[in-house]
Amino acid sequence: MPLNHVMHVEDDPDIRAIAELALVTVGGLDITQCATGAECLTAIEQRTPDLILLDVMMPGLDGPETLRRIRTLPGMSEVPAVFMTARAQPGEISEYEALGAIGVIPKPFDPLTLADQVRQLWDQAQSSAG
Amino acid sequence: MQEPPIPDNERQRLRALGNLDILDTPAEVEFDRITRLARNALGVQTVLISLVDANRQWFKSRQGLEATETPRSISFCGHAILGKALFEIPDALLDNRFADNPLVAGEPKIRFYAGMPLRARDGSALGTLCLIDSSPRTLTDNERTVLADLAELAEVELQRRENPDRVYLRALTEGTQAGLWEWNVQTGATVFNERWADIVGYRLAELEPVSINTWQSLAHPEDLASSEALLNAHFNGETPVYELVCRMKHKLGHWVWVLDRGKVVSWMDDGRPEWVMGTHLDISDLKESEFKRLQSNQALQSRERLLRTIIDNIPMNIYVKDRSGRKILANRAELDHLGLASEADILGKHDRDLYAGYLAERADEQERPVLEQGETISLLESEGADQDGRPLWYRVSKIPLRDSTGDITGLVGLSIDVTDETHSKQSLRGQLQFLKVLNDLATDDSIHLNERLNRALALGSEHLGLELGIISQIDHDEYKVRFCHAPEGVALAPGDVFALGDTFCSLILERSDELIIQAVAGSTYQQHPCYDLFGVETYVGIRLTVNGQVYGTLNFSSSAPLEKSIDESNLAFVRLLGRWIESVLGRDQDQRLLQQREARLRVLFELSPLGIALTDLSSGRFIAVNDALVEQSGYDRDTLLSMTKRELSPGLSHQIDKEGIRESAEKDQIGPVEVQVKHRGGHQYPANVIGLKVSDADGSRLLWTVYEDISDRRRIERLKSELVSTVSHELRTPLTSISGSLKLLAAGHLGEVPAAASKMVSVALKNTDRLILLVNDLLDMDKLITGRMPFDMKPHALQPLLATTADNIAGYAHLHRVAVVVGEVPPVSVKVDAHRFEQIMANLLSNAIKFSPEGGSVTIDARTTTSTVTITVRDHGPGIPEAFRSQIFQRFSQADNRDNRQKGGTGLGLAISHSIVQTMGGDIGFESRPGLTEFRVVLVRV
Repeated sequence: MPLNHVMHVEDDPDIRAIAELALVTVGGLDITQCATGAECLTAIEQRTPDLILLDVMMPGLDGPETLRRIRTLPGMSEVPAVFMTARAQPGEISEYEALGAIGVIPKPFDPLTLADQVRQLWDQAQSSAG
Repeated sequence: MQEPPIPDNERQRLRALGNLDILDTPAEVEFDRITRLARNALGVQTVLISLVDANRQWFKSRQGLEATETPRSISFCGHAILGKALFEIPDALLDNRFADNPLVAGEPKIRFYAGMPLRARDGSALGTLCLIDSSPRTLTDNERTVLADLAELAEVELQRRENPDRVYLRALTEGTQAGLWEWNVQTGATVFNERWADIVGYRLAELEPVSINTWQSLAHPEDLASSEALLNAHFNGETPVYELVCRMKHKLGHWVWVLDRGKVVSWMDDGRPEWVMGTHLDISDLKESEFKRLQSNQALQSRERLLRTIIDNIPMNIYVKDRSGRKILANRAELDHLGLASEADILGKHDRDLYAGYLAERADEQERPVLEQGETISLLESEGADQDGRPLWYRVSKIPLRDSTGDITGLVGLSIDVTDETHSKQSLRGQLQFLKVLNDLATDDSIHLNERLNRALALGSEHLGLELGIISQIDHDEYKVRFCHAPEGVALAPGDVFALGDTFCSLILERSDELIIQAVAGSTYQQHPCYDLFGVETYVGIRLTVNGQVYGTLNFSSSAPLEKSIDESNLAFVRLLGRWIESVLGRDQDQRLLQQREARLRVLFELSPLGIALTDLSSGRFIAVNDALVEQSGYDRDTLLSMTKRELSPGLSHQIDKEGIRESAEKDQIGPVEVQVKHRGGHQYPANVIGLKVSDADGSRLLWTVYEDISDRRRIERLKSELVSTVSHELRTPLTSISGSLKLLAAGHLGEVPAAASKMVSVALKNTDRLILLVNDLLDMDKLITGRMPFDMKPHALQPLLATTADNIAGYAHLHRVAVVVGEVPPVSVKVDAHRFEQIMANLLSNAIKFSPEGGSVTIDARTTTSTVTITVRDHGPGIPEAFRSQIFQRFSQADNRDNRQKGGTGLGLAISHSIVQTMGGDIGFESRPGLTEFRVVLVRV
């Protein structure tokens, strides 16, 4: 199954704008964007995405906490998640993977290839799941 | 190793030693003073007064040694007592007799030994006064003199303990047919002479070790009871002597009849008998029937004959007087002494008839307590003169004579010619007296140094008969009076300064170490200004050297000529005094230096910002703590001093236990180690601690510990780490936006960008990339410095690793129109963190590409040894400037700052690469010349 709908959670509006361009305009994906973890928890019940792209450092609910809560929602235990972070240390990456993330994309990201990176992670997860 | 041989007179020697009743007695100040003085004056680690017993040497006094005795077989003193002179071993390791001695090879690692034999009155060697040190050394002549003088003091002290009665009684029986026995009723110590054993057919050696059991086992069982009864009667004062005829078993089995007589010769303070001494006479020759007549006159006569023979052949004067002072017996020696031919000439005569009036009166005076109180007296008496006019000296003993009822009927006089001994002793006496006073001065700490020296000068003046005594300090041409002893009316005081040339002391410094002028008048010294200015007529002076430097002089002088001339013994006296003054002044200088140093260290200790504590290693108690530790730990000083180290920091005590500092002989340092310290407030704080084990003067082991409170440092490190982390996030978020926007713009996703604007966008983009690189490099550098960069070391095949690095850089190479060529790479594996390896290669390759001419090429090669792999990155750029090569791996180093802007880069790349390679166990280096630069990375081969 090709990747179609991505939910992007990011508190910085500028990065949201760039990510929207990168994923929609450049990458041709369908996205839903949220500014906070709480917003995401509400939005995700409206429409279940194929994949969740989560910023790690956010005020209020941070990325990992948001993911933990998503996992408790009905039917959300398997939705693939990818973290975006400005602190991509090897130790932290394995920590995120332990939370159930299928990958980590370091910031600053390249908007021209962001969609490709997400798709690649998605495909890897699909093939290993299949 | 050579064991000390046993001297020929060993039995006599041991008897003399036994006579002192000194073995295993407590220390006494008279001896300790001597050893202490020796240690101070001669500067050695150990000084002993060692007494050589049958199988051991026992130390009556010891400085600098714990042990109270050591086996004789490995003793140095056992050798020293064989001769009469100083036994000196400058370096035991070079001496075959001692090199492998366990006291040399092992602790206490003796290297130097000097022992002066100490003798009993009969000349046998008792032991030594000896010096021991763990460094080789040769004594100077002066030091030998001091040692000899001190040994003499010790010897006098030892000889004082000889029991004169026992010595004389022994002397009386020596060479007679009488067996001699001595028995200490209290300790059980028993001594027999060879004749005693001979009577029962043995050699003394066969009976040894002897005790009272030896006698009991040889005596006839039937005689033991009466022996005991008679002894008790004598002890209780019921009989003047103990007398018994008894049988003793001969070695050949028959019984020997023995006349056993004895007498208590010394009593305990509480009135119990101590030493009993007696004789055995073999009377077996008298037939059984004659025993009855033993009490009869005939037997007594026969005994008198025997005793007569003995006393007439003894080399001492013996006489007996009745209560009225008339001689009733005189031996041959006494008759010869008086110039009389026959005893008949003397019998019934009074001293008044034989001697000058004053001598007779003196004798009456002396004999009164003997005759009236029953005292035994022993004294030194001068009587007459020899042909050279030297006075003759006699050691005289007078012993009361009692009848069977115990009444005093007269006295026995014994006198020995001790003229030779007395003369040498008298000449020593002055010096000994002086030494004693000096010793008291030296050891009495209550007397101030100045007072001690003044007293010593007064003492010297008196001894020499020279009125003026001066200790001078000489500096160039200036003569300064430091201490002086001057007669009334002479205006001389410490601090007075003279021209050196005006004093006789100038001659000492110019010519020799010593100067004696008996009388200046009429001598060549008359021209000297000293005579003119001060009228010095007689002069003795020596040079004083303190701590290796000329200090000044010690001199005694007088304005009057001396009646008695100054002889060698006076000079020896001045020398000895001088050596003592040198040691006192030297010690004073040392002490001042020590105090100065101590004061400096104390300031350091008190003002140190680091906590410092001194603890007792065995109890863990604090002995001293400084202000910083008090402040740092929050306790007040008294509380801290009542605590143990373990209470303050269990972690540190644990570490000390773990490293075995307490027990180990070699290990004396601990740390630096980070431990938690308990603050008074209940929390703990981290401290960096180092410790050093030291030994106190008394041998107890102490531990210095320095506590550096590093909680501030920890907090700052944490803050810094948080700052870097925060900054990286806070910088990267806007950088993400900027670089993302610019990339989208540049890629035309937001519509066509005008050419001029497009150029500006790419400038912005390029600089944004540099900013991102800089943030990444800063973070890497921080992690490398703080050691928090994780490394995932695994074996990786080299070929694919290098292919990946070449692929990764391909875009950048294309931009610079430089070809990246992977050359020969052998199929080997290396142990690396793949991600970090790629980072190094990216750094080297981007540098190589950056500096390559357009259209040039960069080559990657690898070659191997058995244990390493060397990867080279080669470019054909301009080369690294000579001046820059030495600092190429330093942080923020770039050949030229302008270059930076043209070529890009952060100046951290090579420093980071260098750190990473080293952390991975490899190395990085380079070679460069115009047209060829080669970087080499050496890695561990799998």
